[in-house]
Amino acid sequence: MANIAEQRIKREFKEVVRSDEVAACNIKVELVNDTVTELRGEIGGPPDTAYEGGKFKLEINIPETYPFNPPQVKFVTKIWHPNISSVTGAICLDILKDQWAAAMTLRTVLLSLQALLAAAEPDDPQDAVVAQQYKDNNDIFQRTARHWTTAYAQGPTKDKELEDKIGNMKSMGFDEHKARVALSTKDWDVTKAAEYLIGQ
Amino acid sequence: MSSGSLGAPSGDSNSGQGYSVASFSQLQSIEGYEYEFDPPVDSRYECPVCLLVLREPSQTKCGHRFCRECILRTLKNSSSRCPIDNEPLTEADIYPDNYAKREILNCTIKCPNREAGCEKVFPLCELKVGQFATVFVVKSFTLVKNAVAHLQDCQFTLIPCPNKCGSILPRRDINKHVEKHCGLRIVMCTCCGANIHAQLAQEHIIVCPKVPVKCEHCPQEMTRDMLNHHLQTACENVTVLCPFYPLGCGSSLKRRNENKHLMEDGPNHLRQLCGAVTHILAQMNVHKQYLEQIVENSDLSRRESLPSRQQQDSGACLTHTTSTVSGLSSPLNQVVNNDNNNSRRIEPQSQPAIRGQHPVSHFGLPHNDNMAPSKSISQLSKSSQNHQRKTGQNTRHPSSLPSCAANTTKQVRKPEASSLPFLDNVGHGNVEEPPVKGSNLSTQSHQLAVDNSVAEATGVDILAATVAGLNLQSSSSSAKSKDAALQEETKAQELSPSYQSATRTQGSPPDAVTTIPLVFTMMEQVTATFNQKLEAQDKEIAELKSTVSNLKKQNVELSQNVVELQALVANGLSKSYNGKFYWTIQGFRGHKQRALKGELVTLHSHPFYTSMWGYKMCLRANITSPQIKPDRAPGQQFLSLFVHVMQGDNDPILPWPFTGKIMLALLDQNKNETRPNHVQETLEAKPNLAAFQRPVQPRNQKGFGFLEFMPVTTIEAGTYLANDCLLVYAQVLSPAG
Repeated sequence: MANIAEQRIKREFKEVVRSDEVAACNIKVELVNDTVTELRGEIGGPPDTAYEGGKFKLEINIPETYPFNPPQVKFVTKIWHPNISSVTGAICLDILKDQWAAAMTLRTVLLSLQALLAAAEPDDPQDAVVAQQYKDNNDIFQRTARHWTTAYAQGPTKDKELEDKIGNMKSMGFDEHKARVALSTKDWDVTKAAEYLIGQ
Repeated sequence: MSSGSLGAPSGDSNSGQGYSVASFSQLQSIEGYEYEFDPPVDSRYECPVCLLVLREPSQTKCGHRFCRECILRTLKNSSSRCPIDNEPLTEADIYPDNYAKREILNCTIKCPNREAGCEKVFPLCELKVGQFATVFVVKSFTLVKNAVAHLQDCQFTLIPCPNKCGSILPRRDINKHVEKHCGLRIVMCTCCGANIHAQLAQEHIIVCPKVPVKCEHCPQEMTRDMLNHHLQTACENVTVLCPFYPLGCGSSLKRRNENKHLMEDGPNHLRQLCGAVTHILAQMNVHKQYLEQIVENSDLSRRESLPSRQQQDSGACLTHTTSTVSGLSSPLNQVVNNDNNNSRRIEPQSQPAIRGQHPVSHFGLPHNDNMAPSKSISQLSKSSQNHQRKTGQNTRHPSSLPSCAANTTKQVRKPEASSLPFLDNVGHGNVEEPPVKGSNLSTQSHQLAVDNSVAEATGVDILAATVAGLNLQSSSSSAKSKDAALQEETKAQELSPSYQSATRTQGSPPDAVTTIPLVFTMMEQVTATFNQKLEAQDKEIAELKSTVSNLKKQNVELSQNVVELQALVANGLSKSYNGKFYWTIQGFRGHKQRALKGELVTLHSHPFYTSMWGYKMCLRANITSPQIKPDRAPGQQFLSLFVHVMQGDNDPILPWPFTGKIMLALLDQNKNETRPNHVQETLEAKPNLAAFQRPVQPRNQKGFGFLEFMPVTTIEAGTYLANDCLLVYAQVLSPAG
């Protein structure tokens, strides 16, 4: 890896580790191995949102041209969000693409992602299904997102109704995750979700 | 980079150690200052790009500060925008921020050698001379006027050993190192006094000429350079060979026994010596015989060239003397007698004859066959000249002739008796002298010929006239008799045309003995020219060879370039980045015919990318063979279209399996139709299918698509074919890009 990128990441590491602000906002960066090209990040779900209390793991890859090019970031933890793919975890965020600036750091990236969780951009979606739900049926979206946070990100809130529906689907022989995806996609209509799964 | 290790040597560049630090300073000047500032520098003096304290602070027109290198690099490497607010920015919008620079240079830092033990704290500008534009600071702040650059002084700065031994040590240790430990310090050899590098001292002891060593054969001790001499001449215990060893004495013995051996074995040695001398004599004999043979051969050729007629022609006057001594001596007697009697009488007539002969005799001189006679003749003419002068005395003192003939003195005594031994000598000289002497003789004879002409000029007697006549005759007769032989010879030696022409113009053909050396020199010349030509050609060949090998190399390079370019072109073709791809399938009918014959027709498109950072894919088209599906109507052929995921540059960053929609269309190429009848199908990628997993081969073997996209008959019936080409269109929509 280019010397500049490596040195810079090492300095940023110190910053993330020592910053009080960082600790308060529940963001973390860890090394995966002894290179700094692959990192593991974690952000806490912002308070007063459907993601509150969840811990979302991120995969961060540092390109050789860093900081002149953005790091490649995606969610490892599954999340229900209009700007994040529920399948791949890919993130749609301008600063990770064309709006990246060399002055940004891992810290600012993680804080921006936290902000993204708090304020979705449904008009620039990564996951069209989720975005549609966000716009058309925001209540269901909020419940679904909270449920996903509980299911995948150790969120605190349990939504018994939704869990029951998943239990129903499971008893029909469907895989739990697939059932959750189908139900979330079909606004928790068990019949439609089952049809969706069968038709797949 | 660590400021400590890198900063230190560069600080020393001014101390005259000749230590190059260009690379260090270059590296260092890239980013901001990484020194430990105490107290920490305000964050506004931190570069947002390198996160270090600003080096050469530069401000943008939007009011942000960066290291000069950092901002320039940003503009070069990424978009031309401010790294903080993404405002459009060019190099012209960046100004040096000298205020910030001054502030930063006055911030205190802990010495970079702090970990090594230096506890100094001082302003950054005092760290080094030159690099921080100290002059600039000094002008502004008289305070630091006398400051010495700290690193030049810091005892913990690492500096390289001045002997260039490769060691790098803190300054405080360097003197000790140079004096005591450096492998390249100079030490003096205690034995020979030579100055040598310390690390070579051990090796030097092994070879030092003045180190005392012991002789391995005797207890004597001496310096190493004397040892050889001792062994060769003095050491009594060294085993030597008997001096008679080469003659057959097989003894080898200690030097101290040598004299005894020589004394005791005297008779044996004499015998060996005797045998050796005998052998040498025998060898000499052989050589002598060999030499004689050569002489004889040359004589033989001489004799052949002297026709016997000459002797007859010369009559009683003078017989040619080369072959026999007696043949010369007796007629000469007559000549001398005749001379005595007739010189006065013949003189007037001889004058013109001699003038006519003169060039001929002069000409004939170099030839060996004329040599002996001319010598004798000239001698005789001399003697006759003398004789002539003293004709009066001659009768009174007949004994004055011999010394005249032998020594060319003016005394003439006992002509009959003394002329004989003289001529004998001449004859002997001719017979016994080897050819080497012959050449001497020829020069001698030449000399004599000159004398001869002098004699002619002063007045020549009948003898000279006769000799002239003889010479004339002999040259003309030999010219006739040897003409044929010479012709052959010259023909055989056409290498010497100049020689041939020379003989012609001279009109007097030379004979074999002179020809051979001449021809040899000619041949040598010719050989030399040939050799030169050969050398020139060899050079030329070598040059050509090197040219050929160069060309071959170039050829190989060029073909490599072609391969690379082909790869580049293929790569370039695949750089369709918007997920839309048009594919022209050419020669459709040909493919169809091949399919009809039962061949499996599979066509692959160029690869394309679904987006700039997207998946790499290609299309595959098959024309099914009618035999594949027995349940179909016979001859029913289908066009199949598939999408294949390929290994691409972006695979590591892409989510796998591939998700998204792929639209495949066969385009209607009827240009007149306002609403063309494109056939299009959309398929959604199913993540569980092998076709959409991350490919482990350059092209995923599994594709996904439509086995029966369209019947071939329909294609041919519609307007999908134009110039035997099909146009396939693919569009990929992937959420992952």
